[in-house]
Amino acid sequence: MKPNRPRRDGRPSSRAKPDSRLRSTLSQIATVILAILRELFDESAYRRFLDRSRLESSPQAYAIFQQENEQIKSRRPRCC
Amino acid sequence: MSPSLSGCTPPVSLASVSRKVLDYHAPRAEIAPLLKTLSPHQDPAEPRQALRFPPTSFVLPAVKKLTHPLANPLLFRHNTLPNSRERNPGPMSKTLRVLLWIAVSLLGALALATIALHRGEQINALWLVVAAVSTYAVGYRFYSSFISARVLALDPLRATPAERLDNGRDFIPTNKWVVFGHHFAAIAGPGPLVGPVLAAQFGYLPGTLWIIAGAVLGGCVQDFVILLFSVRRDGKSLTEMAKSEIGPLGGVVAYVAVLSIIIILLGATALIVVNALKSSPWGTFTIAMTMPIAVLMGVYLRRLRPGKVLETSILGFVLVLAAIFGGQWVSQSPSWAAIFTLTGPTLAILIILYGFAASVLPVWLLLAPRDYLSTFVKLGTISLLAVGIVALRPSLHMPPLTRFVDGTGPVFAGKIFPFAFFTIACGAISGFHSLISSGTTPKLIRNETETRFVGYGGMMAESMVAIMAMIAASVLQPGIYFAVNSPAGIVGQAPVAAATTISSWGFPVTAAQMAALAHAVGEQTLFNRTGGAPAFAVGMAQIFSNTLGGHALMALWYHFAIMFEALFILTIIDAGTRVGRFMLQDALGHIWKPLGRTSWYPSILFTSAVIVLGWGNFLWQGIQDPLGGINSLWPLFGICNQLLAIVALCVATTIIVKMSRSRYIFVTLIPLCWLVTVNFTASWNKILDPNPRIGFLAHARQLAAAGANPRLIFNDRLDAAITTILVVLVASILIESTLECGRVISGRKSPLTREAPFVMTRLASEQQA
Repeated sequence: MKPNRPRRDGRPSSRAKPDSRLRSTLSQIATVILAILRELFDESAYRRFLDRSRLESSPQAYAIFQQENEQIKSRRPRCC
Repeated sequence: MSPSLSGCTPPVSLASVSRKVLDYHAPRAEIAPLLKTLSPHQDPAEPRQALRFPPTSFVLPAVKKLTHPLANPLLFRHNTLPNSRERNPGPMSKTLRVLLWIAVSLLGALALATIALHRGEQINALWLVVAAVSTYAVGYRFYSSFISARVLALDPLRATPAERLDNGRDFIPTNKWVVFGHHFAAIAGPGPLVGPVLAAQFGYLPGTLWIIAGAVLGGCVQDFVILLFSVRRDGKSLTEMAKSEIGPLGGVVAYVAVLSIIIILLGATALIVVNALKSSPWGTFTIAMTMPIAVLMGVYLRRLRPGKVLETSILGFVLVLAAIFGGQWVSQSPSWAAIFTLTGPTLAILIILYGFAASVLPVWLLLAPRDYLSTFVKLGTISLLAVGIVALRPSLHMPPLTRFVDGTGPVFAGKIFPFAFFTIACGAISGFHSLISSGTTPKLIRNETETRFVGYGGMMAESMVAIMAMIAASVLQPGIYFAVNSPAGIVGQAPVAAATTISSWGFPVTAAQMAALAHAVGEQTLFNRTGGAPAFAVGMAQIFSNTLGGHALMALWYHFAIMFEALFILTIIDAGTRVGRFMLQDALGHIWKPLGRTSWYPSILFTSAVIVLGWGNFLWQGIQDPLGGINSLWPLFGICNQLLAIVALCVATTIIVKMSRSRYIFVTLIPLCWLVTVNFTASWNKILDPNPRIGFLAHARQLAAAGANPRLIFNDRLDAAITTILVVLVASILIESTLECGRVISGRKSPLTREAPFVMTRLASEQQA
């Protein structure tokens, strides 16, 4: 059997082993789940805030972020 | 064969793109000059329905010019094309796809036939899962696709408000999976868990069929169309859309309905927590501990690890698990157990005080960390339950139909029609979802075509949760189910008397059996635990303990389930009180400006007190009710919720007519007509039925004749008055919406919708770059 060589563009060959494809699919799923959790838990929002206001993460920065987000968060309805 | 856009893999037909672009969205600024050159007699300012689709050969160059930079497979992957032949053929051949969908449909039909036609023998819970999943798959693939292409004409070229108004805070173009997670976390609450458990008193069949059919044809459609319409209106709320599309009355009705539903919802759900925790030191201790844990999480997050919410939530979850173990110790210690063994009224007062405190305290200290913790537990537990059901494949002990379809049920009184339908509430269709579909979610949508996945798909997931709740209730022996859910006023307080009454209905159960079950789950008794939560927890504990840990862990699983329900009901109470407070402040600000200032403490205290007293009154009413409270409050909540869905569907139908899509009006009109029939009949029954267990006024008369406490009589009359006011308001919006549609269809009014002007998306070309 020929070795599973990567293509020139860096993407895995179409003849990649099933377990490596499975691993890549699982890693994609894990990435998406982590992204969802980060968004749900406002971690992404905090990162965007830090980027926008050019601040380093600190208790003070987080306090400002929470103050800014308070209106949005506390007005967000939760369904029954 | 239609030509294709070069560079698009898979190829996308230009004809379909041009039809989508021109047929619905024209005239828009960008294509108006092109149209003029193509058809000089066509006035771009003319109303939309007057525009005829020009022959493809004339349009192609214009559309090519428009869409060339967007010839991007990423953009068109989610495109919903009107003709299936023009779809992405993918790696699977067409024949194979057709065969696959025929197989899915047949499997769904077989599963539905099995659950509908089996009598006298138990069926496996997986039949319900297969029926639901197959129907959702077919509904999503075909019905939602039809709505996307024909009715709504989703436009991948149109920039969404998340793109145009991107401010990095509430308007953010977000990955569709992330928006889906966000949307699902916001719409999934105790409703789809409690409603099906209560409706299981009719047997598993009516509830299951309504959950599946109601979701595919009603709930998913409502969430999807409202989300899309809000996206096309810069993320406007349902109230604003009702005001601008139907008339000022629409806005007022939507506002009153929303505020009422919030108040009644909070009262009903608080009652569920009280009924689950009364005389339960283990459960009370665990839930009490979640408050200091939340404060600890808030401080940890703010001072020690700013921004590390996921880490903090995991820490909080570990502490909550420790609290569950601690609760066992508390329940076994006579002195500690006495402290945490509380009566219904005491628990009610504590929850009312908690609601007030959560509304006035800073968000970061209590509300936000509890919200994170609750979301974490909610998603984890729902996933765990799904895995448990699939792994265990339990048999359903509940019959498909019980004798209580005649309206004499002990859990709540009322015939299968209309009571089964609005009791299920959020599992099939929920008016409250329209607030979320027109709230946070539309501001995150990156591309219009993703509204189908988020709106329709999100409700499908919620409906699946309702199916799991139905399974959890139906795996219980019917005698146990009725012993847990029947109020003392119906079956009696003494265990032997209650067991005898329930056995006489044909559902055998003994006091000894119930005592053994109570002992197994670490409770003193499980009789008269109305509200649905304890029955769900017993069912869930049974599934979990059979999957993991065996009988020895049943008590832990039961209290885990109780903690899970109570935790996110309390999250709804604190978030709902705050949302209600803001709504009240917004309205009072029109009367006296300082009251509208959300940071002015006297206003905060006053409006929080009004909202808390509002739902606290309903909670207190439920505590005092000899029929268990749920008999009155859950139907009231269900009616309010479904009336709000009527408002949402009125808005959607009016907009569809104004979009010149009247021939597809049935998409929202059929669920609307059904909901009107169900809810107006239900309201009539709840107000005027001569049976005191059903009609509020008949119950008030019965109490007055017996010389009961005037407060109880007042409660019944108040419930009747609230239902009447809401029905009148919703009827008026229905009439106004019908008149508006009539004016547009007859041509007496031009079909002008209040959509934001079209702006071409830039995200697609950025993605391509």
